[in-house]
Amino acid sequence: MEPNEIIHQSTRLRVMAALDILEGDEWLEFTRLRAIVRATDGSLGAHLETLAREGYVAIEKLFVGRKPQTRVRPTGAGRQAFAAHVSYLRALLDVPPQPGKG
Amino acid sequence: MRDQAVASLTDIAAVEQRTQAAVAYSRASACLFLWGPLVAAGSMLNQAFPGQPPWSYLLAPAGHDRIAVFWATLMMMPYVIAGLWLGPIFSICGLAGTGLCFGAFFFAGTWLHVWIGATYGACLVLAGLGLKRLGAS
Repeated sequence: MEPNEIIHQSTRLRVMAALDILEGDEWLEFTRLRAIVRATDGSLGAHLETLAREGYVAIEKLFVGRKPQTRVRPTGAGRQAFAAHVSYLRALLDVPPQPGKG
Repeated sequence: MRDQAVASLTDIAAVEQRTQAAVAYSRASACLFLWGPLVAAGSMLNQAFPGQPPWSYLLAPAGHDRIAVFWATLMMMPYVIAGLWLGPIFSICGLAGTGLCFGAFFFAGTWLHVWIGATYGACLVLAGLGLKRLGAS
């Protein structure tokens, strides 16, 4: 098994972990996601762009009243990629630790 | 590599827990918006018609003062317990509601049902607004 180089990055991993909890028709608002993954506006925005470019998340920008709102949800491909990456991480734990190596 | 994997999986578990709380807050807020006004209406009816018509039991705690406070606090218990798994805001809402109901018993006098109605109505709707702000959309 190989790691997913896109999801492997820690902020993107946290983003996918948060979005994977949502059910089919649910979205997570940007500011709430920012609090959950504990990232800054700029950092989260950049990582979401990367994930969207890979087709792992869908981003929607809309107005609620007069306030702009950005919300995010995972795509099917994103869920699959995240599940595969989690399987990879779990498989690493099944390998017996070697003396002198982390 | 192994340590990194452990750290990543721990990170994932923490994020999942925070997200589950946000989703639970959002779903609960919708219930509170509905439940709050219904219980408030039932309490006002109990105050206006102290003969306790049977339908009022469907909406709000009724009956003798102690029984009404007992049911009111009992209905808050699931919120206190749910907070252990779903997020501390549930426990805070449940404890605040319980405290206000006990306050009604000692201080509201003949306005007990109005007090309980205000507690369940206004406070549950306010709690719903708070949970909506914290929750997922």
